[in-house]
Amino acid sequence: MNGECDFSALARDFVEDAGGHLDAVEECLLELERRASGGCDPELVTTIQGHLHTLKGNSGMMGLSPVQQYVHRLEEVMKELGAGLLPLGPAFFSALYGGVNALRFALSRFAESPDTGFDFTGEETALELLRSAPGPAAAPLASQPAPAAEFGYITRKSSTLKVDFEKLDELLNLMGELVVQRTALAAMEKRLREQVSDRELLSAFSETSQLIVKSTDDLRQSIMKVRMLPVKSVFQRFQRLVRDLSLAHGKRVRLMFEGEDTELDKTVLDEIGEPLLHLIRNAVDHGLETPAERRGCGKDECGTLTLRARHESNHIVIQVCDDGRGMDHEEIRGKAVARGVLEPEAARAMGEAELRQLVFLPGFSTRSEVTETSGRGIGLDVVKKIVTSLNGIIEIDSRGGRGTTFTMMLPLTLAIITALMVEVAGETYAVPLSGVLESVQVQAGDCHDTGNGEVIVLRDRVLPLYRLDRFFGREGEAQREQEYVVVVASGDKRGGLVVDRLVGQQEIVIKGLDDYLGELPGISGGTVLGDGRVSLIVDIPSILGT
Amino acid sequence: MLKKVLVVDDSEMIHKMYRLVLNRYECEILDAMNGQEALNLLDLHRDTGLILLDINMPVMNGVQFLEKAGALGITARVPVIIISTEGKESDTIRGLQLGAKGYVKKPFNPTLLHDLIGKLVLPSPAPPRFEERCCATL
Repeated sequence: MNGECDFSALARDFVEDAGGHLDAVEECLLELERRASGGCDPELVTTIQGHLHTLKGNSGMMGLSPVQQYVHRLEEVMKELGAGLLPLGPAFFSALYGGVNALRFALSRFAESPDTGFDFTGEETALELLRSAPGPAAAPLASQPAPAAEFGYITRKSSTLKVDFEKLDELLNLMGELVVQRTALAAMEKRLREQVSDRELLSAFSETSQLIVKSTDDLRQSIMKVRMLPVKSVFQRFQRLVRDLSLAHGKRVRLMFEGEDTELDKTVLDEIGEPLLHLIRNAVDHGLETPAERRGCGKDECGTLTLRARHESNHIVIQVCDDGRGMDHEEIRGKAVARGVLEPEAARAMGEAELRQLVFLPGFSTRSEVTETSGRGIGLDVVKKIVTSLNGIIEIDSRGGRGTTFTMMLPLTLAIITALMVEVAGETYAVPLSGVLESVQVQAGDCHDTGNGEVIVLRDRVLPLYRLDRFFGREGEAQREQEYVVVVASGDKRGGLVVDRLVGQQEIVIKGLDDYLGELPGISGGTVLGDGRVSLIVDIPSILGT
Repeated sequence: MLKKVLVVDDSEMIHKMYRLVLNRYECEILDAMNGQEALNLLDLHRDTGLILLDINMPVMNGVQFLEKAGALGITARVPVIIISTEGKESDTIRGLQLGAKGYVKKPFNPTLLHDLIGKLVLPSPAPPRFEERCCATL
């Protein structure tokens, strides 16, 4: 390293910083490629050079001379491009994108184990070839269809905002405890009203407690705001994917963003990368047609893929929208019958919206051929699973010949939820309110044992019952005349959770349970109550078996 | 002693590194991301004792900064060390002509920088005593 001064403490900062420069270079390259027909934009070339130059200097300071040397080579190529010595052709882009990928890969490896060496010989040879034989026919477009692993950076999760995210999480945790104590304060106020006769003292107390309520709310909102990032940071990562995929499939695709400045809590942002990846792959592979096919339908040869984001009441709405061929509902119907998913009778009676839901079944494909990147109807069941696990909803809208839109509705944050607190066998459990439809009180006699589990009939609908005390293997209270049933839903399944008592609604800060506890059926996490007791969060999907 | 050092570089990363390198002087470090910011900071901190200057920067580069700083009489008062990644050497030479007192190539060995800072800023060791000088000539 560098004499007496050890920069290894800065390794993480360096990798993060370098990633920023690489992202910027890639963004400029994409723009350069988009405008390539109009010639080489000198401003973009200068911007790229600037980022490479900084990266070179920093790598040198960190003592990573192989990186420094390789970036220097890239810088020289850019210089030659700027001077008009290199054609702005496919060979150039393929070499430069390759370089960016190689650096990304090398840096992520360096971040994990700083002692591993660097090897850019392959990439350097590619650059040498480019400089020695700069012919337009040097390399075909998208010469190396990127293996799936290369796109690992798309689902990667960034670990810092400007401060380490853990610190913000800690802040939120403390906030959660404050919220809980606030609830305790309210309960205390109620008791004081019953027992203390000094009105002046009482009103002073309640005024203070109201101020605390207000400040806690303000504080929580500010903390939540700090955790927000524009969704652009995730959207942006798909530019490259769409470019490479469309080239590999001989398609032309324009990727558009709408509402990319919409801010999302980082917990949500970290999770949407994967579902988006599947949906976008799916749209490019299956949704959008080849230029010839599009021309035949009188459409623009270049397909449009739009990523949209917006806030809607208490949700984040994210859409992936293509103007491709749309879903063939008859094909789905046929396939459902052929696969034995549906009886021919039932299939005929099904509406289009219901038919579309079938594509979320594991392994259900609407296209017969298998493609390298997305396989058969890839991942739509996976997408649904992820979205459901985030307490979200996914919907499809599709019109034959006009395109398909996937709409994901996700909660604003995954860190805090409103929960219905219930008591079961002496313990308090939290049921996420997002999954609760209603709570009802039913006569014990209305619960019927079908031999296949208990059910009740609620407004002409048969509702399976799940006794939480039995589910969690606890000794419940003796039979009562009246039962409290919390009606919950997940996906298209509904069920009733039988509990001893309803405690009330409360905002809780979710705390993950340690991995060493293993799989916990029916439990998705925990939270700390006002009196310091731990309450477990009921995992509705796993209880309903969705 | 060195009280304030102004670091002019467009990379945040480099600023973090200088904090480690300059740690030993226990001086205040001012960060500027380009020449213009540097001029603004110099106006506020007239007691700046040293400027570490990058050349390649947006908005106002190192050469432009030296031109302005020279006209304002800053280069005569405050020593400037150019610390720049290899690139256009002509810019560095131009910078030295414009009044920079030293040049270090990035990546640099901190020892080299410390030596240079020692020569330019810190009080030179007391002149050798008469007898010693005599001994030396003998």
